[in-house]
Amino acid sequence: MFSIISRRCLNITLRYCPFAYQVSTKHAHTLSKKVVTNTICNSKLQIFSYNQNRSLTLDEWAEIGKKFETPDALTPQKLIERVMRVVNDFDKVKEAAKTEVTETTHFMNDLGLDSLDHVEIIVALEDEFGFEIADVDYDKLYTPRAIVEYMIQKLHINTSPPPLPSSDSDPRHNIPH
Amino acid sequence: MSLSNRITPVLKEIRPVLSVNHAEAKRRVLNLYKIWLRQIPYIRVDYISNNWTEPELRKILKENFLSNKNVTDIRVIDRLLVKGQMDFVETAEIWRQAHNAALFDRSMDTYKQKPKHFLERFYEGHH
Repeated sequence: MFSIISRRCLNITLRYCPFAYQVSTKHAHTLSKKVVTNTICNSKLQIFSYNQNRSLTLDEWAEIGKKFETPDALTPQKLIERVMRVVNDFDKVKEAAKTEVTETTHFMNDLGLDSLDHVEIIVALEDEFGFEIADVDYDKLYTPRAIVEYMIQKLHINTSPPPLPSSDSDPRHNIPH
Repeated sequence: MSLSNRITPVLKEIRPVLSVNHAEAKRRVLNLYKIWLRQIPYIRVDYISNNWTEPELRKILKENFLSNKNVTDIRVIDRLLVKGQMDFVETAEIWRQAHNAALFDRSMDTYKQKPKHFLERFYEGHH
């Protein structure tokens, strides 16, 4: 029985033992993760394959790291750009605004939009920033400047200037003697 | 002079249907408009045989809301709100069919409309 099997599988050495053992076949690529093992169980040849855990190359780690990247934090400048883009992309605003839409243009008074158009703008802002804007806040959002301030409050955007590097020691450790 | 001057008049309060004042009614109207707006992409797909585009649907929605612009009675506004919300549920759950949904679109009306311009009235024969 064993001699017949060994004649068929020329590259595989067989022994009658029920445990799996590692074997490299002729066609297996040397760098592949897949490892083929052969067992004999009840005198039948059964082939199992599994992925061997191997250490990853630097490129592979970089690929994995891309999944965990977070976007850059919103600065007030970027926020203003996004809000103005959303407002300017609106059809009615394009028609109504012969001059450019600035931060202080009032939707109702200057551009002549009505409350339903205002709701459409708010829906567009919700889609852009990804959170629901409550009913009570509709009254606050009549100019782009007000929208920016509202977003800064809601998204907790840091508006203070970054600390300047200095050669002073850390003031937290200035313990008066 | 008369008895009614000395007796304080009793104020009859009107029972509200849904909202108590105009501000609340306005909030409800805007909410209804918002949920219809959010549903527009799905309406376009569910009733695709009507060949609507999203700007067209927004225009239709606007027209339907603006046709009731001059209503001042709060109870009437509330009734219209309830009807609007029922229509929304029927449209969203696809209990309507294509022709039923097209009832909102005045441009798809099939009755013979009265001629407006001179030439149309001329062809009609009685101007």
